[in-house]
Amino acid sequence: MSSRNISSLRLIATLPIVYVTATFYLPIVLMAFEGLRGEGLDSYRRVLLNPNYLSIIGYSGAIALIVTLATLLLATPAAYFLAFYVTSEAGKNKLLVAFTVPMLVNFLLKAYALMNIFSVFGLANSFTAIVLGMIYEYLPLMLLPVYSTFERVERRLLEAAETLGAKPLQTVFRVLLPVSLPGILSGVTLVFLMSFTEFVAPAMLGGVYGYTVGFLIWDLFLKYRNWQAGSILALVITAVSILAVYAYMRWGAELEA
Amino acid sequence: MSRGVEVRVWDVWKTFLDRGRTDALRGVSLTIRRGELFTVLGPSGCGKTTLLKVIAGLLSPDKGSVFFDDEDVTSKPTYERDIGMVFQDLALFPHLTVYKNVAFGLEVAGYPRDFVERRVREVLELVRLPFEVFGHRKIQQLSGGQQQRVALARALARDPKVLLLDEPFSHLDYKVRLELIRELKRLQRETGVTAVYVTHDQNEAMMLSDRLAVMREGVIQQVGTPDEVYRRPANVFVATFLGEANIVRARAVNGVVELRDSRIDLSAASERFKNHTGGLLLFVRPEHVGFSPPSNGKFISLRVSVVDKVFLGPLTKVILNGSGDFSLEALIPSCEAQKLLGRKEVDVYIDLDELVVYGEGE
Repeated sequence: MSSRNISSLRLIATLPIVYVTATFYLPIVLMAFEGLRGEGLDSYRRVLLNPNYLSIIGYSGAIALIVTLATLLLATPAAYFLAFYVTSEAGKNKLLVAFTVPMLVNFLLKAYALMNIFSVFGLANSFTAIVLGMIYEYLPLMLLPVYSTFERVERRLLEAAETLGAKPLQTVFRVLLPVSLPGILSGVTLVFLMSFTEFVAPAMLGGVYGYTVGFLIWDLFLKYRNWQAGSILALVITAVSILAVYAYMRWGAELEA
Repeated sequence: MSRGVEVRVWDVWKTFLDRGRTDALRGVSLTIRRGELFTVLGPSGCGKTTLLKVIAGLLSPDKGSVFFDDEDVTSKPTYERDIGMVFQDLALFPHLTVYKNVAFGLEVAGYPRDFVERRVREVLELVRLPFEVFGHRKIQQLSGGQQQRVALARALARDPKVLLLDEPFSHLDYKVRLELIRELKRLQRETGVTAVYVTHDQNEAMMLSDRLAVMREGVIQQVGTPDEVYRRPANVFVATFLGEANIVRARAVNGVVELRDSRIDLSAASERFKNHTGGLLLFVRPEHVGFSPPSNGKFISLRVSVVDKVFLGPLTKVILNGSGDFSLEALIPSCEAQKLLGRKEVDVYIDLDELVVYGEGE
């Protein structure tokens, strides 16, 4: 291969890096400086200790926690069923498509539909509506990693547990789930982070209950023009997300080893 | 103290929808005695692992039954059968320590903690992996042979009624394998558990077994002690699968076979063929083809030419040819083989007690 080809390959490989840097990392740096304006680090302290902001962050965290737990509880048995009770490959694929096709429709549309459905049951603009909407939105995101880990679990391990006298539920809790922990963690991390910063579902389904971190940042930037506080909150949330993913990757690698 | 049971497999059939699979069972019946070390021997795909899984309850037969003593366990789930199993790839739990792996069966059965600990220590001692050294190690930190011992300990911890072993040593080096086979034999004697061992390795089968069954294409060919099966194979398949065999195609007229210048009166070797006329197959092990007449006086001698010699250490394999009519292999002590040096034609002697006759297609 000529050196010209190599350098053009290099260029192609560099483009995505440039793009991600320009659209993701550069804004983060800019936000960090925006936050430092005026009082320097003190402005960080002021924003982060603001009890109003804290309570909104806590509220978002609570929603995310509920959604994560609910999707985990719903997705795990479904994944178990798919992985161990659907024996034909064709059947598995059909069910997987059925589970994941809703993901391909933009959530804004689905949220609009949900809004109408919920109002029929008198649930519109409620906490319940937010949570149900987000469970609906993120269930596939939990199901896929959990299912694919279950698929990869060595069947012999489960048979071995059975020969040692473990009843089906004991096999699930003592062997299947511990061995699948990396996959389960990736689902949990994904769903928690996505639902923590979720904006559409609370905004469209929650009414007055929809005031979550995403909403707050939106308001700070666009309504109150308080770019500094908005930057600081956005930055902290991004940092927490990156840390969570990093921790997951470290821990996951350790578990796999 | 043993709780070993008699295992009876009765007319078990199992076919798979998957066309590529050959490991079906076609009417297998077996009785494995209490406290016996029983081997199922056969080439890969003969159904031996399927049979083991049926005994374990991991597969349910299409037809037929499995009994533990007088209890019909055919429809009992695996976890209620009270067995121990060692898998070919061991299937040790990667997320648990050595201790926890061995304790698994006891813990799921709900035994109190101190009992579990006492028992695990005891079993680890039994497989010579002292708890103090190995108890808290992770499975990945052990050598292949040590993992093997953990798998054995795990299977034995609950003092099962039956111990099932699916080619557990096949991926280990020869030396470690020999050591573990001795160990397994000792453990099985000490615990008195009924053990069913599946292998494709005839040497393992002969070293280990009290009795063995040879299997082919889902059908049991022969059951007996290693000695019986080796000396009196039920058919040509068993004869050639277990050990080395000389098979000579011949024709009999009224119970007499003429082989070159020798006459073999079949009534001496086989009641069945004493008046037979037609084609048949003569079987003799290479170690029973000798260069001096056997002391019992019942033998035939054949003039053959020496084609080749293969030195095997203590023994030498001599390849012989009866002028194109048949070929033979003789296995003799290497010191005797020296005497054949330079000789083209020799007389070999076949002990008629060691000659087995089969009809064509047997």
